[in-house]
Amino acid sequence: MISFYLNDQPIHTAEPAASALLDFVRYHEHLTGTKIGCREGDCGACTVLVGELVEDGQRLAYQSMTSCLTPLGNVHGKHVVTVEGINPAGGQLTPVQQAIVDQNGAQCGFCTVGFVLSLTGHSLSDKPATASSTRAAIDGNICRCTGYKSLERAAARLTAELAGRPATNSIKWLSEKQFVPVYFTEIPARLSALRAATAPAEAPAVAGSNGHDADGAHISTSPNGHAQSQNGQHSASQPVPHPLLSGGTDLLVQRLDELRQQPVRLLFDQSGRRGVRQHEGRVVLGAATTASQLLESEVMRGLLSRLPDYLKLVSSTPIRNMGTVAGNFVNASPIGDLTILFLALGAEITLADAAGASRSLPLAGLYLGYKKLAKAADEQVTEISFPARRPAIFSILRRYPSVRTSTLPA
Amino acid sequence: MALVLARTEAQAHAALKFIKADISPLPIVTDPRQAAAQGELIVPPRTFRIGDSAGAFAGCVHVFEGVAESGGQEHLYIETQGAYAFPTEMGGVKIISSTQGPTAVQRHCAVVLGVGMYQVEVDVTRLGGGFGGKEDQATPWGCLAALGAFLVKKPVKLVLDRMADMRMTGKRHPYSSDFKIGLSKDLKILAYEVTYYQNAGAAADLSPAVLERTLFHTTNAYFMPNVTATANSCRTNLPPNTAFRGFGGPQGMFVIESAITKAAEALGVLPSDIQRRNLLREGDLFPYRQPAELCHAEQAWDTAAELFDLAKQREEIGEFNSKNTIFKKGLAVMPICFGISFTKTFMNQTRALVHIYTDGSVGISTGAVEMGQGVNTKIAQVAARTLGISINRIKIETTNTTRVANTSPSAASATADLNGKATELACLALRERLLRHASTEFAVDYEGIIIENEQVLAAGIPAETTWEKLVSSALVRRVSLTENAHYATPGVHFDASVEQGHPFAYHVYGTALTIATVDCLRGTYTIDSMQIAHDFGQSFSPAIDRGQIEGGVVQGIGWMTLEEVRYNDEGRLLSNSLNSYKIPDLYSVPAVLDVHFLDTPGHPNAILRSKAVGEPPLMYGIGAYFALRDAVRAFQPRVALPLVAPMTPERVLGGLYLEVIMEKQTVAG
Repeated sequence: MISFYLNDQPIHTAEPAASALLDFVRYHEHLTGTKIGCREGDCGACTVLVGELVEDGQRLAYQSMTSCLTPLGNVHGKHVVTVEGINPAGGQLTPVQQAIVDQNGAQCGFCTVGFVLSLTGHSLSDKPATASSTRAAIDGNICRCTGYKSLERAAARLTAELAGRPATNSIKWLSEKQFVPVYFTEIPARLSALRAATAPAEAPAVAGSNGHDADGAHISTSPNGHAQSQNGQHSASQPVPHPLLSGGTDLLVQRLDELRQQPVRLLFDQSGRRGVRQHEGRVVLGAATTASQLLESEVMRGLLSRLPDYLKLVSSTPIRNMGTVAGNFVNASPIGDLTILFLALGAEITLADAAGASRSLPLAGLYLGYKKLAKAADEQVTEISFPARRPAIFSILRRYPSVRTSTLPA
Repeated sequence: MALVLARTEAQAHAALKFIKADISPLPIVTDPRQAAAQGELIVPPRTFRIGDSAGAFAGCVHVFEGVAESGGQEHLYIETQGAYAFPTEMGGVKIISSTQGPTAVQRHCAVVLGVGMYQVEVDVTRLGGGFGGKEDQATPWGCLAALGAFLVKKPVKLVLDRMADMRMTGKRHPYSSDFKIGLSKDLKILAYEVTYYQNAGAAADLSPAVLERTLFHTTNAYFMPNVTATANSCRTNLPPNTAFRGFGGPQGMFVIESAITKAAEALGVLPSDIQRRNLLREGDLFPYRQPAELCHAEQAWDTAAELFDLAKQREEIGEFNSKNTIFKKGLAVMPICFGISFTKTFMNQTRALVHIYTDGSVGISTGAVEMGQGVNTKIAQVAARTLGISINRIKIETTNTTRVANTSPSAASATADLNGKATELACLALRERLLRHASTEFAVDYEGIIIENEQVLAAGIPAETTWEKLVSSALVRRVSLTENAHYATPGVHFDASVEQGHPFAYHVYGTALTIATVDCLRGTYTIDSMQIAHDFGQSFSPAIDRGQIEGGVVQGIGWMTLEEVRYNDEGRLLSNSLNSYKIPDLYSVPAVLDVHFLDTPGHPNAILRSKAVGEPPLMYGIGAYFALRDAVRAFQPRVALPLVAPMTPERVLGGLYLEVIMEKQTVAG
């Protein structure tokens, strides 16, 4: 059972954990404001907000995500916000919507909801709103009509309005200003209650028992579902572990249909698998650390001052909010953009098998070829680490921008 | 080949996997020139001719020849193609269709089902983007949904997923063209010859009409006394290409701009030296013999050059380039001239059905389809102005074949003009009828009564007589509160047998300055600015019109720079999703996009003298191509660059290091 809040309603569903949040929202809840544009996370028409209780349980941290690639299981215990959930009871436009309307930022309107949600998520952020951070909030939204200029003007107005947002307890201010309805202030308590009443977040780790084939055989998944027999280490008669599913940004593009028909092992919210820390001269990352967390990490930024410039070229804000570092690695193809960086950093990964035994190997040693991993099917990446010093990669990364700064006018 | 009906989307997708197609491959042609060489033409070639180009070349001091290639373009409306159909009583069907052409869906659906058109009702609320891609190519999906509903007597919804949409639908036509341009000593263009090879794909679709518009825009905003332009619509084994904002015009303009640029580069002059002195002037004849009337080509150019200080910007770029080795800047000036009307004269007609309800609210149905271009707002504005009432009383209804029949698609930039004019006619008739009623009711002179701000004003009419009272009293007196008006653009005609006539209601003019910066190490670039002086006429929706310019420009930049439609030799689409086909995102648009509204009178054929604005701005995007080329030449001026669009970063890099590439090829060869 997956439980979460969808706007102001509690949801308890037995839908498969690997099904797309987008389909649940549209076809089960009939909230059709969330649009289908590409189903591969590239257009942002299906953007929703996913809010997660922070440690103190007093408030939520909201992030934009493309619901087409968000596994339903990954919103267990969280607050999902669609466009239907952001207006006050009277139906007045929010300041985000009003800014877009006033600046003629909607033409055909099909992408507009995604922009509204991205900017609403930005309003809910606890970081100061600047011109560039507001623009960055909509870097995952494609618009084919406007040429973005009117949306930039709306974003500029929003930045100005958010200048008055207090640094703490901003949700009260935001609800007073009707950025979000009043029920948002009650969500932390409601979500805590929901979490207490339902199984812990680990519960749906293997979720969605429906969809087994009659003979118990599972669909072979490859490669970053990691469930197939790799390198002949498992005979055909051995039971194949359920596929692993992390951020969903690749698997739900490629194999949504097969994954939603079987149980999966969810990694995104496994405890202790997120975050960046320094330990005994090494930087240690939990395997489910997202690209956004990488981007925001003081540790990473301290070592790699140009990391934000690099990551800006890698996907977009909502995808970075979802995609994990280990997921990127086990993709084992050139689209795993982070792999290059970590190879250069001399990273090591730790693998743990189903029995709990773990081993480490250099990241380079993980790859046997295109989409081929030196990893047993029951093994999952748990940790990534690299020496906390500035190896060759830093000079490479720093040389690139230094060329720019020396030749571009100020 | 096969249509699957199922209860759920998942079932339908699963069923697809059980279909086995037995296909015997035949030779595949994807190159339009190869198709032409094999005689595979969709329609016989067409030639527009004025003067004697062959003879004129003899008198030219400079003659240059070359080849120019422009690529396809995916429409990438964010809402994919789709339709929803359900059976209606007496054996009919109703289709909710995402189409620019409801009548086309109705007509074809009637044929497919073998019923009369009256049995098929097509309704369109609005589109999540069209750009030409849903002018003709929305029809199959509407017909298939209707066929399903007709057969199983249940509602059927058919929506293409993104990859299916990209794989199965046509795109902007790629063109390959040969040009020859002749200039006098003082850089006047005396002669121009061009042969276009249009890649039409496997079937006609709209290719012949697109081809025709290429010919109409052969000379862009320039006067040329001697022109021979021949166009071939070549049948290739690709999905049939179709309408896309500009409709062949951009492809024609790219070639003449290429010819001018090639001549300028060879002569060591600026392209703008040639461009400026050949701009159209009042009364100049286009090759199809329509004169340029109310011509603003020079006004647009000179205003842009002065307002945005062309001379100073060029100087600054020169200085930047002299101080920088890795980064180079380039500049291009792009004038445009675009003809407004369907070039098929009969299509320039429509109707508006206006109901005034007894509470004074107004419902308007026209043939116009709202797809983000703001036509509904414009029509409501026209009605509010004409009737003298608040726009809040007015609703623009869905576009529906039962309410307004036999319509042309919303296309050719002409939708607001045609449907706005029809609405204006209907509202004028209603207003006259209501005022005549008021004159009888209050026994005052008809002359001098007006409706303004919802008040009926004339000496002798009680001061409290409002719009609402006027309407309700008219009903009591049995005055019709409904009007159905027909509008057909006056004065347009064209005789294809001699390729001459007056096909356009008017032309739209403008000029854009574009500046680009190229990273000469990596081939990456930014389009820094685009500054435009545009001929809107008397815009009554400046915010909508500005939005059309900005959106059109960015689409045009996309076509000329990032967007590369690629097929393999077997004709399979390689750029088949958003991750392999790049359209402009927030970070790839110019930081500066200035739009100046030229002071022009508009044209009587334009709705309230506010000129059509949908397609013309797309062609400013061509300036981005030539600005990038200019920047590349600042780094690598020695070897002439090919005239191939789009100017992707890969092509830029190839151009920057063309000498190295050619050297290697020589060694290898």
